[in-house]
Amino acid sequence: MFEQAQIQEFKEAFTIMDQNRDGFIDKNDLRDTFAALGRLNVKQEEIDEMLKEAPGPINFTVFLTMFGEKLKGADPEETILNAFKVFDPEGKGTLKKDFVTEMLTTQADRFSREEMEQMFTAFPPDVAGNLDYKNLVYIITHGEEKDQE
Amino acid sequence: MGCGTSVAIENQGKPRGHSETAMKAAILIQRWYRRYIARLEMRRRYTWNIFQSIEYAGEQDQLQLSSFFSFMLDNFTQLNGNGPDLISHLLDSVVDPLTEEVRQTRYEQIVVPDSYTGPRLTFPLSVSDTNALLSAFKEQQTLHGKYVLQLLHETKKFLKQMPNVIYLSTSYAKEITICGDLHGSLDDLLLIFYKNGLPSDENPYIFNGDFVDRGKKSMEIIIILFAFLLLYPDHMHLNRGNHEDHIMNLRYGFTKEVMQKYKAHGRDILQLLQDVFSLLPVATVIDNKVLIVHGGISDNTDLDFLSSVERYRVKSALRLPKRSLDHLEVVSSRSSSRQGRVGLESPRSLGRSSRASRKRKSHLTRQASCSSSSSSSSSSSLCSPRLLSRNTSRNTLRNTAMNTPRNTPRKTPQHPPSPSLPSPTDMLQVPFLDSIMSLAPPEPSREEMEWRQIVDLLWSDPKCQNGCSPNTFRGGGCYFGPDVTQRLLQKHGFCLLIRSHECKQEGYELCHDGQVITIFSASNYYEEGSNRGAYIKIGPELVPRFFQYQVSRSTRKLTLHQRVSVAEGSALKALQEKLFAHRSELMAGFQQYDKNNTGRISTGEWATVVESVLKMDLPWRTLRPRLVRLAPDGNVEYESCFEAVSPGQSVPQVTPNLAETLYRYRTDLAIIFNIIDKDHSGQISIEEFRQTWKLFSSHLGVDVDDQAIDDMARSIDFNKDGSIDFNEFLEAFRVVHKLDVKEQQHG
Repeated sequence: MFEQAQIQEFKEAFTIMDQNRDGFIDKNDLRDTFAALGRLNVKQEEIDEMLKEAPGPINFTVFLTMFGEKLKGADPEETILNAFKVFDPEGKGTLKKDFVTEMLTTQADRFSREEMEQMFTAFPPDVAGNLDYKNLVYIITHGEEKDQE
Repeated sequence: MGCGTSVAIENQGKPRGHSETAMKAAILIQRWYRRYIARLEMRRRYTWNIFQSIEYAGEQDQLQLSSFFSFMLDNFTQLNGNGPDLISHLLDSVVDPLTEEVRQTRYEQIVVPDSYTGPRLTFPLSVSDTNALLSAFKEQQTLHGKYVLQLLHETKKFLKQMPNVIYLSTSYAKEITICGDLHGSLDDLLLIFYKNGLPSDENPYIFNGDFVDRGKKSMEIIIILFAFLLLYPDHMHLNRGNHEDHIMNLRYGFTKEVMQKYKAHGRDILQLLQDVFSLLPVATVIDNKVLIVHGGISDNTDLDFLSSVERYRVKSALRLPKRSLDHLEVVSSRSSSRQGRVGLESPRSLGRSSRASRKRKSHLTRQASCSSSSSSSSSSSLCSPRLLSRNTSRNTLRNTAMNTPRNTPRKTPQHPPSPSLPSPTDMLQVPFLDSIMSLAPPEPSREEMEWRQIVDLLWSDPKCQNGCSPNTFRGGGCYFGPDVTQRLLQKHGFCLLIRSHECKQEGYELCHDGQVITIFSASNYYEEGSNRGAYIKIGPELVPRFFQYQVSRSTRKLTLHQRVSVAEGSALKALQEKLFAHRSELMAGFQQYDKNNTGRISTGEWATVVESVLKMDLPWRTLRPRLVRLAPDGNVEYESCFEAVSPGQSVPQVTPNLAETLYRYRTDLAIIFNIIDKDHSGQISIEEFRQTWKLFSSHLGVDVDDQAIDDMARSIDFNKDGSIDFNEFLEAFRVVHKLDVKEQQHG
């Protein structure tokens, strides 16, 4: 499924998540990771659900099976832009802040309030409440590209 | 919450029928954005790991250096014709020949010139004095040496009356504020006072150690803290930290700061500080419920024993107590022609015979060994123990293992270094003339037990797993688990342990099921934006409240991405320097995998070599893109990991290997030179330089050509007067980062 080199990379990701270095990712590690990702106050139930998905305690092998696929790859700029354009058929290049909030917090893998705030802090809309999504996508994808050099 | 039924959507004119596409698009965006944040978070975490690794590696280096000092003290009798006094003066505790009264008069007689515009303190202190100090320091003024000496003198007198453990109580309405490490960051202290008010009868404070080192304003911080201590003795409390230790100060910058700010009185100030630091209480207890210590506890921690300890005798955690040989059972393990006498020799002959036996490669080995050896027992061990023979001449057991690498600063205690004491089951093997003798180490003396109690309190860290093990990461104290905490708290009826000692992202962290709080008050400790600082307020109900802050140089707030990038850049630079400092070892390792000399090896091979040479437990594969270049075929061009850093200036007569070695030990050499340079002229004689360097390199097992050193020494003596400006010498072995140079050139 994965090449040796990839597995080693995932191993490092696992170690980074396993804060207390005991070889297992437990609910505290998960909660810390969520918190660091801006999702504070993740409900106990949600964490339990995730842990339940695993066949046993989350050691590295289980981690690989559960998260491996999600860690691979990066979406090209084009794809993300098209996703935003679904909500902007007139092609203005901007979206209303309230609309973006609605769109991302009420459906699919819902953003939490904190995550939403975090995004707007990093990429503030203008005074009129317009979010320049083209700029946002550009910065994130190009910022990342530089990292992967 | 519903799904897209708000009025806002109507206004945007989105056709409702597209809901499936909309959902898919939303999912895509959510996942993509979360992955971005996750990557940022990963970078932040490994940046953190890098900084911590380097910090602890530095502490390990300090241990190595301390063992070298002991080695020098015992073996090197002639240094500038002053014998070991020179080094003893700074490393051993010196008994002040003058009485307190005489000292006090001397300080009073120091004349302060009229041109001095800073605060002039009068004792006993008043609020106007502390206010004057605060204003002066905000204006970047320095307090005159006279007042520093007087302040320290008064502080010493005051602290002498204090017990080892201070018991406090919260009266009905008062909250106590508890602050953690400050490490010379005056900005953080001023910010705390701004947010929380100055110390006073209504506003009690506890400062939990590590006031000095690293930051540039350590002197100002302790002046302020001691002034408030004298002004409000019942409402201001200071715990000792592991950096309130003159040997730590040699490495981490406080000694340097003092000598630079106080040219005339620096030495006296440092001498006084040694005493003051060792007189600081080691623990504080609130309402008999909350225990506050700087580092932590161990399974040996005994508060009752602790109250009887003579704390001022433990001047430094890195100077181990002398041990008595009176109870030794000496068993000769090898017969030799010289066998017969069982006693131990005087220092000179033992020194000589050890040197001789070193040449014959008969090592001093132990089952449990210390930082410069390669054996791997995990029981606690002694670094450079000192023994007294019946004749009370000084003998030394030296670990003279020659070609051993430094030990791994790992969290799991696989490797040994730890300045704690051998357990009774260890056998010590001593080279004696031609044979090796086995000695059962003596029972720990009272002095050792006292030393251990204090070091445990100042150096330990909590861990998640149960049990108590030597803290090999730092080289001192223990790792203590939740069971150890539970036991101690229960024994004394406490409910909480508050400690500091470890930098935390948010300024504070809870562990052991909320029974242990770490509080750290130096924001941006590793780098701008690396972490917040925090303090705790606790009232009679004993529920802690946390307050966070972050000092910022710029008024514009950095975004998360920018903060991560700045911190990461700094960490990566430090790593690049480490790679440079170990270039020859690394290249040797790389070439093992590259027999055909292609200049390339796989990522996995590269990571393996780097990890084994640097001995730092970091995610090397994740860091790879930032440290080294990939060839088109996907392999690593290993030489490219040295490209970012180059020597600052070329020094003639210095081979690249020698330059690398000197670069690696720059800090140690700086410390040593500063000690040798008694009168702080910045100059030492060529002879001193040569001898010191030879000793140091042989102690480390570094292979250096004598001739090369001689040549270098002569070439550095620019004015040919037989002395070297060692600051210039050390400057020559700095490195520059090429990107920085480019930026400077292009403005």
